[in-house]
Amino acid sequence: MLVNAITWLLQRISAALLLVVLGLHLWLLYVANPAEIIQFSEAKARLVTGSYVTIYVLLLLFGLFHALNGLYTVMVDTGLRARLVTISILVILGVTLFGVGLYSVVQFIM
Amino acid sequence: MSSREINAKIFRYDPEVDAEPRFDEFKVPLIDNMAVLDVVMHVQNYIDKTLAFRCSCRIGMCGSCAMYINGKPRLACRTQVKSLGTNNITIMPLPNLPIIRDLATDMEPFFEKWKKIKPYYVGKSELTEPAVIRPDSGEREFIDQMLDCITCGCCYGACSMVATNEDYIGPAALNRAYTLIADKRDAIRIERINVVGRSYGVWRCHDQFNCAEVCPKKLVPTKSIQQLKKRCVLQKFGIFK
Repeated sequence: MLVNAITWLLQRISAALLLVVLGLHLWLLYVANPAEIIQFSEAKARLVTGSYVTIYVLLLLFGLFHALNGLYTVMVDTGLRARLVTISILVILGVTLFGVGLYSVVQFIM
Repeated sequence: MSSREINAKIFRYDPEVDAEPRFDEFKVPLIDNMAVLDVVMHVQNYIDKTLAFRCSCRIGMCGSCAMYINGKPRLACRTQVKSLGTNNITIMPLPNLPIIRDLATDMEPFFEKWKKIKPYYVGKSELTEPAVIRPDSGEREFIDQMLDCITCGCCYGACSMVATNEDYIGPAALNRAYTLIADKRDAIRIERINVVGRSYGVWRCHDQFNCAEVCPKKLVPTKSIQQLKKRCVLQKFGIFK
């Protein structure tokens, strides 16, 4: 029961946080950014600043958690029995994807 | 077809005899203020005596005559033919339940889940005096809204999560559990929370409101289930006792 209650709560918290960081992302890209066409060079320039990197790392973290937790919930809805194995696979997948995303962002700073 | 005639397409299936279900069509004379229950009764009384369906009170109290009428679970006795807006009526048994014969479904899975939540009030034995809860208190008002369930199974038949997973307790039992858990006088609230907080309890509800849409008593089980989820989380953090 604890896992169910906590994952339900975290799904809602991550959704609320996603709204904040996704809103920031859209605002930075389409409102604060004066350029009509998004250029790679400008994106590269933005991603060297700490605040931008923080926003994108958080977006990655909340987005991945929300998506994988949602996927797990759908699988349980349809009668998943091997839960521990599935959770383990999803955790490994999440950590790997987060690592790949983090590596990509860090490349801009290096 | 004349406008004073109903074309009733009725689901027919006897699992012990028929290899596959079929639809039989019947012409039934339209009478003013006719309910769908009158249509199936006419068919059984005057056209085909073998048609099976369940009914009892005929006034929307017993919840026996729930059927899937023109694509929606409804009480046959409370559904006026006129309200359907057509003289073509398709009547099927309630979804998500095994079929006994024709329109009669086996309600056992529904009531097995109903029993799981112990659907009766358990008083605290140490109380010597009746607890005083003002009838106009906010808490009381919310419980009162959810008390009118007649266990017809319309919500259970409409719930897409029950259709997806037969282990899910379902909206009616969860709504009943909420009315007891929200009642401070109840002695086994934590026990009930532990039952509804299991994997196939409240967590399988995804707020689609199918149950609320079809409830003949205008209850909103989704609202009760949301309250239960909140209480399950609070109980885990030791806030709800």
